[in-house]
Amino acid sequence: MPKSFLYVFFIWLVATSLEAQQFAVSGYVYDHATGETLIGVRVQDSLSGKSTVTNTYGFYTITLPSGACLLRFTYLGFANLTKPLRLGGNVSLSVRLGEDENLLQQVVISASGSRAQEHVKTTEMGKLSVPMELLKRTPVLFGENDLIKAIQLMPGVKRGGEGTVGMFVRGGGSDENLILLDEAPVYNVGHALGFLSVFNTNAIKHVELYKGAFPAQYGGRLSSILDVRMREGNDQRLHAQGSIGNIASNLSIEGPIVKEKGSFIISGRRSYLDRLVDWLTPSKFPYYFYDLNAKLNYKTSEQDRFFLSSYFGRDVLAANAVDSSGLNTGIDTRIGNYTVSARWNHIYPGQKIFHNVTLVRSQFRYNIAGEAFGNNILIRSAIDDYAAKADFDYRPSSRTTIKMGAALTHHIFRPNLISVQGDISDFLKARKSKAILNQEFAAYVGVDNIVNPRWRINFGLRLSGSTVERVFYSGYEPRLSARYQLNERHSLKIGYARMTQYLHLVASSSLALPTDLWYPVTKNVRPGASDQWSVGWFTYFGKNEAVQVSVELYSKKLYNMIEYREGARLLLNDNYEAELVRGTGDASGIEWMLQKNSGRWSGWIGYTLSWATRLFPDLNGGVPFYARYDRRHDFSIVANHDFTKRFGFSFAWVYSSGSPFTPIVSKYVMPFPNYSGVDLLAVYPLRNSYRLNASHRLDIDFMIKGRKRRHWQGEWHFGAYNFYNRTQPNRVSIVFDEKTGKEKYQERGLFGVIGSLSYNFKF
Amino acid sequence: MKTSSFGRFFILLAFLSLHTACNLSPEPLDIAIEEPPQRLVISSYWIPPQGAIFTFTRTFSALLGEDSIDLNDAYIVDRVLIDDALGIIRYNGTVDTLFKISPGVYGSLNTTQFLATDYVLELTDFKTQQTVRAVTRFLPKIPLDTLYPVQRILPNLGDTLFTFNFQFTDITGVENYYLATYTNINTLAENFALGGGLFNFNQIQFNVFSDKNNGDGMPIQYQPDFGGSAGDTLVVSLSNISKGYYEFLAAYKRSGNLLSQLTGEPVNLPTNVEGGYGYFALIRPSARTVILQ
Repeated sequence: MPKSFLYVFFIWLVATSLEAQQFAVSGYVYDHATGETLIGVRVQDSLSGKSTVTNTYGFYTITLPSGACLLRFTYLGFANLTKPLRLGGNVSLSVRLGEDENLLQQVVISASGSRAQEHVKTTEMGKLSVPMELLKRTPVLFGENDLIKAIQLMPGVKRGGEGTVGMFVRGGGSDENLILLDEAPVYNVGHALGFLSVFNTNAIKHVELYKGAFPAQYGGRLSSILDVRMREGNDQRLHAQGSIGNIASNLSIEGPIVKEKGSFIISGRRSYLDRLVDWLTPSKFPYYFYDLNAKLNYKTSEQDRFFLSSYFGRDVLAANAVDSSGLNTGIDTRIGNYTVSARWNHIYPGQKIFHNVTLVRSQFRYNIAGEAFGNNILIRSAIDDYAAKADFDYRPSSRTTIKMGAALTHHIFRPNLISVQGDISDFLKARKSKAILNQEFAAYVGVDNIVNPRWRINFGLRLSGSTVERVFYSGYEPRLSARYQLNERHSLKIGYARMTQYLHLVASSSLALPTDLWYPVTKNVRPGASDQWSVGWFTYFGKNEAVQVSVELYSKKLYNMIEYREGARLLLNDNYEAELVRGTGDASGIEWMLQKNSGRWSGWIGYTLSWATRLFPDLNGGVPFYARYDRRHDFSIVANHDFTKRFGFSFAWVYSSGSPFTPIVSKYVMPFPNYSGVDLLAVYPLRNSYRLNASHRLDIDFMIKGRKRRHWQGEWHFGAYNFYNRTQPNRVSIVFDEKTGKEKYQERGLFGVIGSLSYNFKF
Repeated sequence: MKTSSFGRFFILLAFLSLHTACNLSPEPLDIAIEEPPQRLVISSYWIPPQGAIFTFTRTFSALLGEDSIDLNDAYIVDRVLIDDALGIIRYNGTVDTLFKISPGVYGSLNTTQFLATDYVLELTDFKTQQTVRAVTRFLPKIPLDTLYPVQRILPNLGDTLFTFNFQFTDITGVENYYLATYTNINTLAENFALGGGLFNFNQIQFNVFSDKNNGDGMPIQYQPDFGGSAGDTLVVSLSNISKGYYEFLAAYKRSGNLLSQLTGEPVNLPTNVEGGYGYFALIRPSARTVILQ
């Protein structure tokens, strides 16, 4: 059967490649002003109607009949560019798109239309791609632009606790999201206990979130892939931008290494509440964070380009005191990620094959050092990844794109090294961190084919595997998506994807800490897997085709899920496997999204109706229960309005049904086993059978741009988080009610209204 | 100078906004929790040679307030302690009717012990008209070969720690579970008075373990730590318990740990009481009196 399948596939491949008198036009599309490659630019031959879009490296290739063609490049916010060509052979054509002030409105309308057409014509489903400019305008906590918090406002993505960057996508857990920064996995995405994400938006170029119908090149997590690409830097002139905010400031400097050949960007950010408190008050604020993004790229020829990018970030909590007896008491906690990606892009002769080879180094570690009453403790954990991957894009004809590649990752996990000195060693045994070595591999092939004007299919297969403790696990992950075009403005799509995950996060459900530990699969803990089906309707309408609408239904089954058994103890537990139980999960829902990316009003409205349940034979008496972030309704509206070129207003209003929780409903008196005293024991109802109140909040932001000067451009933002001061669920307390004389459960938030003020600048 | 003024103005605004946040905490939201119906709770304690003591209570709302639970309070007694009940034990064709010692506490003086015999406890609460039932068995008594504590002093923390050494021979042929308890004679009377406020973070001084990692029928050495003080007089006991009771006690011990209550998952204790809570167990301990030195 596999042989016959390969034979048919080969015949089909040859047949699609043998379209007579066809030549490839390929190259890169750049931003004229900065030299940054542009992702998702539509390239269309106006004569034949054939089209393509640039990939994540800004590369395109399009196969066209010999003779005359008229290539039109369109991209939101940029002037259209038309290039007439007469094809008699393969052509290399890289172009630079410029922003044209006079034509901007017209251009935006045109590009908006082309974007809307792509929305309907591709097979992609469950994909969120929001322009960075729109994300940067979204008002958020502390006035800090935050990529993940903006994504949390999208349909299908649920938030965790108030203000935190936890993401729960289509009924999945927070550890089921693969977050890639220039192809390097980022294990801890939160600063400040998760209230801010580690991504500095000034260093980010492009973000895509996949929630379902995953293309074959993505894998490794069950629920989502967040693909974040860093900016490459301005290859035309030295340039800087930055912002000064409530709690942190950042500065980016970029410029050419050799004009139009290579560039660099370096971007740093630091919180400074510690400095302010130190300066303005007699107190000390013991916490700060910082991060640094840097990237170099150099083009050695039209065919070869090299990139080196890196991220380094740390959270530091350090406090110290000396008691009356002269003994030190203190804590020093350092948590952070470090990633490096080296990439080589190459276009093969013939212009139809593009490859990207990547070497990745990713590291996450935390050190917690404590000292009290003559005792010292040091707890350390680390993950080190070394990965190599190669991806090929092959475009044998104008109707077919083939993506294939392979990746190998060597993980080294060093969880919970504990070093103790003093009497505490009687309670807590020091232990060396046993390194757990794990190799994970994947190979994939995916084919996108326009069968006819109505049907387009994308199918693929990903084979993955992992070795650990002399055990080998493998995953067979078929992928399929298809589009049926009803007419120019409407299409129906269907998608299926199986995903396998070889890592899991050991964390308490009641506390989310950066110190939660990642572990690979083991002899006893099998890889998680998911099967997801989705169907959707995609359309666009409105003046200038500016409004895109999508409705997607999904159904997801999760296998080999792990949870902690009732009463599990997790902190410093070196036999965590004994605390795990295995089960399955179900998630289903409908997501509705209306998005407008151009015009004076831009933004989106999203609504999700969803269910997420878990079934574990050893939990809840074997009865299914709602997942922790199951919320029936989620609604968000994010809107930006430009009153003039200098004044703008943004707001985001979000509504969510209450999360499930498990309160103590009754208690009873029980003697100790030796009848030497009595105790009060709790009675819990079925797990997650009660609900918190629905939450909603309004965030606002006013933008005032300074007058444009030759060497300086400034922009003020005044805003407020939780503008009408509504409690956002963060914790549940039992308090005494004076009216009834009894106690009651109360839901409390962490923050009320928080004003924000920031100043962004470019020079 | 201009820059400095601007900087201070900016910092002032930033601080004002944070100050606003600190002072405008939103009103907490009440969460409606339905009070579930009361259910009956059973516990038991065997007193050799033929005695047994039982507590019969009812569950009560978690929102009653722990500080207000005074078991000398008439309202609490009426609501929590079962004062008017019929309790019987059936075994080997015999029926023992329990007598009331005090509200919530019942006893028996004629319950003969037979190995490999089901003991069925039936409790009817006349106030709530509920009846519950539970079944248990006596298990063989374990002879305790050796038991002695070893003291360890932790000078900086100013605490003492004892390690008990239990040595006994495992019962052959079956998977066995064991319970070790430590009863401080000095505080027994104080603890067992069912009055006063109750709280849940007492150090629960018992251990449960199994012979899973021990050869069947082989000698077992068990060495748990115990946080006591020199001079304390303890009654230390070792009992053979059923798997069900072991699971109940293991879950109870885990749920009673403060750290576990903060970071762990909710845990409902297993029970062998049909329609109720608690655990009906008849165990035969081997006990020694030990003075910590």
